[in-house]
Formats: sequence, C-alpha cells, structure tokens
Amino acid sequence: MTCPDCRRRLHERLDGVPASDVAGLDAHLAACPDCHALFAAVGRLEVGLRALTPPRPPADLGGRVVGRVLADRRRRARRRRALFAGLAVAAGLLLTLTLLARKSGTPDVVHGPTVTPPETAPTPSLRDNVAEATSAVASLTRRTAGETAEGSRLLLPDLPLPATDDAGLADALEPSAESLREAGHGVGAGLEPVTNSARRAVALFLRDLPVAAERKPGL
Amino acid sequence: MSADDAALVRRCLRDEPDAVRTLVDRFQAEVYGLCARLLRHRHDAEDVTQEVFLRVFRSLKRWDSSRPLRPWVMGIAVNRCRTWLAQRARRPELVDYLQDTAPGRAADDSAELVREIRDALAVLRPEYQAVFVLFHEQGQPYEEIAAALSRPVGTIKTWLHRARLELLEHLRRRGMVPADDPPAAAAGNPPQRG
Repeated sequence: MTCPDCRRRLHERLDGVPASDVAGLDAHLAACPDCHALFAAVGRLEVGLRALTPPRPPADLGGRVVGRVLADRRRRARRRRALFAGLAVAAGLLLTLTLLARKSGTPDVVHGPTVTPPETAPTPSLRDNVAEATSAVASLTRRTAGETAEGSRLLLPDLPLPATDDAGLADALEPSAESLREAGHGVGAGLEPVTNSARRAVALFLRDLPVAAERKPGL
Repeated sequence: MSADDAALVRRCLRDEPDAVRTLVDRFQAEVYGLCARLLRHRHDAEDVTQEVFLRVFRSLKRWDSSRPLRPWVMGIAVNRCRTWLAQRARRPELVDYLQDTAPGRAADDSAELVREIRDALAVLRPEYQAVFVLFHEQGQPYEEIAAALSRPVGTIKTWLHRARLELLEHLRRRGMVPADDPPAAAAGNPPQRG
C-alpha cells in the first residue's frame, strides 16, 4: 500500500465506507510515520465530529420565519392587486378616451355610397380645433396690436389743448400726432412678427396631422 | 420524498398557512445550522435564515418539481450566506460569535477538540466549510450537496477532501493529536455520519 492509497482509505473511512484490506493498511501505518500521524488525527477528528452538535435554532425562530413569510406574501398580494387595479383604471380611461375621440371624430350624418372604415378614419375634429385655435391666436394678436395702436391714437384727443382755431390746432398738434402715429404703427409692426410666427407654428403642426377626410359635398 | 415535496409546495402555492409552517419546520434546523456554522454569529444566522425562507417562498414557483427540494433550499442558504459574508466583510468586525455548540458535559477533552474543529472550520474557504458542514454535520449525500452548490460531485469530493486534510493538519499543529495516540486504523467501525 502506498501513501496515496492510504489517503484514499482515510477519506473512505470518513465517508463511512466499510474497511477492506485492514492488514495492508496496518502494515503501511506501522511503516510510515506521516500516514500514522494522519490516521491518528483522523481518530481525533471523528471524536470531535461526534461531539460537534449542530447549532440549534431558537425555539421561536420558526414562528418568526412563518410570520415574516406570510406578511411578505400579503404585502406582495396587496401590491399586485394595486397594480392590477391601476392597470384596469388606466385601461378603462384609455378606452373611454378612445371612444370619445372616435365619437367626436365621426360625422353626424353620413351621405353617399362609401363609408370610411373606423380604423382609418382621420380626426377632422382635432384638425378643426387646431385651425380654430390658430385663427383665435392670430385674431387675438391682431386685436391686441390694433388696440395698442388705437390707444396710442386716442391719446391725442385727451390731451389738454390750447384754445386756438381748428387750423391752428391741427398745425400745432401735427408734430405730436405724427410721432404718436408712428409709435402706433411701430407697435403694430412690432407685434406682426409674433402673429406671423404663431401662424407659421400652427401651420407646421397642422402639416404633420393626418389629412382630414374630405367632406362630402353639401356637408 | 419528491412527491411529498411537490405536494407540499403545491399547498404552499395555494397560500395554505399550515403548509408554509410545515415547509419551514422541515428545513429550518438545517438552514439555521448551516448559516450558524458559516456566519459564526447567532443573530446573523437568524436573520439570514429568515431571508432564506423569504426567498424560498418568493421563488417557489420556479422550483423544478422533478428535483428534490432540500438541495434547492440549501443552495439558496449557501448563496445567502456567501452574500452576507461579503457584506459583513465591509462592516466592522463583530464580536458576538456563536457559542452554542460546545458539547458541555463531556468528561474528556472533546470540548476543546470541538472548539479546535470550529476554529479550523472558520478559516476554511466558504465553499469548503459549506461542504464539510453539509456532509459531516448534516449527513447530506454528495449528490445533494453537488445540487445545492451547483457543482459536479467530483468537485464536491475534492473540496471535502481538502477541507478534511486542512482540519487534520490544524489538529496536529494545535497538539490535539498525542504522539502516542494509536492510529484509527481501518479495523474500526466507520463513524456515524450526521
């Protein structure tokens, strides 16, 4: 028997494999001090392993573990339910909005032989709304500019005037009136780019929208 | 065993509290024992045991019912211990080491022997420790340990043999093997495992 054989027997012994060739092993142990010492240590290890009691869990650990597991499950179930409820609400909202949008986008009365399929139906109402918004913004800007210019012009009659005749008055006020007129035009001209920019922005936005379904003649 | 495990798991998945209790009772001693040995800290072992079971129940749906349940649970325990040890290594050293494994009433020097074995175990590589504890203290077969650690049986045997040789060397170095001690020749009965 060799030292590697002896090592193998050592592990077999610790594995609980029944011994074989005991005489050969004894002979080797008697002749090999290293293996003799190793096998002596094995005996001590076996004694120690028999005395080594596994750590015992505290008596209440099982209850704590079960409580924590059940609480965790309840929490996860609640979270799942909340998630599903949120998804259901979102889906319902989406469905409602879709239905509303479709309903408002459908012409009230449809004439003619062909009907546009719902899935390809354009959204003229949105386009109309945007167009209305465009004109509203443009007219508001125009009106603001006009009012500003008009207000400037109205300043003139409210000024305390010297008591002179009409021709003299006109002559006297001409320089002031001229400057105020210029100021009014300036304000109007200053606001015009804003009006134009708004108009261009809306036109660009409208260009990206799906083309509105052509209305039937007479609608 | 596997059919029993599968039935138990099915009941657990139906949220039956009795089944949860049964599963915890079935494995808690082994899980805690392994955690206590690897972590060497009572409170850490309790915390990790709870974490292990939380993870077990959270992933119970993914358990392959064609395989035994115990290695799967013990694999989760080994992984949690490994993670915990890595996290603990970044924290200040703890002093409340495990003291509940002393044999107590032994008339011979087995208390000292046990202490030496514990100390020697503590300095082994974590995977050697796990294999040694699972085999020698919990009596699990090589195949189950291999399944728990997701390693081939040959690797598990190699790790266990190295762990044993390191322990034997530690005992010799610490003078726990008297020079005139007769070798435990193969003539004796094989030791009881587990």
